[in-house]
Amino acid sequence: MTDELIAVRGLRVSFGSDAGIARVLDGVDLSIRAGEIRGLVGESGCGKTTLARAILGILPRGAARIDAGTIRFQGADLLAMPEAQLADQVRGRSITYIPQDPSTAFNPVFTIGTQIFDLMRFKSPLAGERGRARQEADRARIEKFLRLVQLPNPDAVLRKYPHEVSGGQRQRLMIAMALLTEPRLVIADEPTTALDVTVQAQILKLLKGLARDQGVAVLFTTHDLGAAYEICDRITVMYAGQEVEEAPVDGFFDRPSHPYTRKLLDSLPSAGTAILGIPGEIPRLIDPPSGCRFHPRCERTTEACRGERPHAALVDATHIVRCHHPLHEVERAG
Amino acid sequence: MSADPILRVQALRKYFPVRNVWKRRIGWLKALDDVSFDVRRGEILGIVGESGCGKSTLGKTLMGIHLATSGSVVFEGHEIAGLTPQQSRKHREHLQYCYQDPGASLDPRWTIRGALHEPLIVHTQLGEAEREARVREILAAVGLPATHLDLYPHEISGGQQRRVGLARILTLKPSVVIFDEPTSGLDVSVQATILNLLLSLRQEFGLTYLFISHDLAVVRLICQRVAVMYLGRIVEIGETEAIFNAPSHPYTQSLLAAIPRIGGARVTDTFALEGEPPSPTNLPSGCRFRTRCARAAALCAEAEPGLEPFGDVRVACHFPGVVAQSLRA
Repeated sequence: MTDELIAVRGLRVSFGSDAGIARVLDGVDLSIRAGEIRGLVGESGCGKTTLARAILGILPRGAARIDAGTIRFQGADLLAMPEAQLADQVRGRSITYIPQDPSTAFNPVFTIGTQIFDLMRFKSPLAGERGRARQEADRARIEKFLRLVQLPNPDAVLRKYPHEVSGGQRQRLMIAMALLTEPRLVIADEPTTALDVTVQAQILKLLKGLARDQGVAVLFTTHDLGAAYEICDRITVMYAGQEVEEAPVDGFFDRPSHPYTRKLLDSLPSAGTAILGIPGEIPRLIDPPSGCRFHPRCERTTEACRGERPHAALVDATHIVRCHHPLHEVERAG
Repeated sequence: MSADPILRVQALRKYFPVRNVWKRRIGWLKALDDVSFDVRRGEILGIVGESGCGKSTLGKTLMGIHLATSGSVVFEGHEIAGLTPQQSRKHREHLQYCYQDPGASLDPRWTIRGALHEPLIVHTQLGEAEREARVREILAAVGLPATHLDLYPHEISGGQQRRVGLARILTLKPSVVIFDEPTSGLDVSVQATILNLLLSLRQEFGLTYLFISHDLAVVRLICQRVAVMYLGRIVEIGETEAIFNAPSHPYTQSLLAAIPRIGGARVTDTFALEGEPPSPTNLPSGCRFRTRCARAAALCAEAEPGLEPFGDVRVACHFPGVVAQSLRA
């Protein structure tokens, strides 16, 4: 595809620990087009946050190692890029990040204004200009974005300390900060998990609207399929460090083709039906199952599943599944 | 099912003092303000609401972890509100409280056997053989093998720790268990397993549950009745189906409208509720919800609505009922 904004290919990441080496990402492929809102769903420990951090280049140094793969962003390989260039041009500028818990993301001893102006000092889109004109332009831009995230009184908010605003407002500020630098891709790591359901609805609405208006692509990681349904164009499911299915949002919920996706949807609580869990537990990544990592918990497992990880196959033109025995007819992808 | 409620809560209040830096009291945080409800023997009553609405304070005040400011709690015929923990220990033996992650309350230096024997040693006169028999019975009920008794908490998985935590609560044969957010932070597949376990334990031991949660989908699935709280008050209480099918309080309507429904209209296209709850230390006059309510009128600022019967449910609103344009898709 030519209009790919970011393309992750065959990414393998492992973490060293006292107990051994945990293979947290096992050859992950993921590509996102410009302006697309992509959901990345999966249970705790499936590697969604590791993937997000690998793209940002903020994996814990020393503990994590990238064993194989490429991450191409706007044509450049981020893994080969010098750290100085990455820090100056990509991270926090063209790829930004919205954290899960906005209350720990701010420094409690500085005002919100100080922290936002610090960001603009280093990452303002007007990097070439200097002096008073730049300051005024930056200030106008900050006020514009605070209004866009529905904080109606920017001057007052900027003078406050982080503890003086509510959790929902802090998350609005995070969204504003993530968009200030004219990014092409925003990575939102479970941005609504810490929020109440009515505030979640407000934040999702805001994020979706702003991403559309600014033409920004969003990688939205979540374990909440309902939230993914709300705002995503396409959804990728991960299980134990492998991506298993990727589909447009409607196809994803109407025709889940990987047995894990099916079971994940079945375990959502819904009135009038039995509560179905997934038997077994998530595998230890230090000694993961061979082949398809879901095979020990799957009803359709055969010898092939233990041997080799399935290749990507197409359910239809836009719906990809990686399973030896998918629930729907597939064609081999080229 | 007996007609007498197993737990009757009347006009329960819990105010926390708000102090300035010189420790002078400058106001009250009204975490619970005139809360009344009955819990029927054998039912699961859901308590729902957003963070800060007082649902956890309610659970802790019933348990005696917080001392009630005023009001009455009658549990199995005994008044337990206002008693010190020492005085009420005998009555509260059969009222148990389950934290969000019961596994986290296990002592890492104790074997599972030690953890399960402890409540029986504290509360009962049973001999060691009788205690061991009871512990094995409960452990089997939560689906763990007796070989786990000699293990330490770190030797078993998080899900199994959770089961041991539940077993520890059940060793005293409680009649009412208060669950505080038992499924929050869990993945859906694990959540399903825990809910099934809770339902089967309730069958086996004839338990009554008070189920505190902010997850409305889970509450709808397992609770017979639901109480919706907003800023320290119950705004609507009734049968689960009545409330979920036709919510009468505008807050309940907004809360239900905010849940994403896969396959339905998207909440991000339809949701209308603005703002966030006001601070519980500085409540609006009259109805607490009026600052965010589309139906607020002059009366709402003057008088606080009581919890009155409306159709099949009880609602605290001056203008209850389903709005003309349906909020739900």
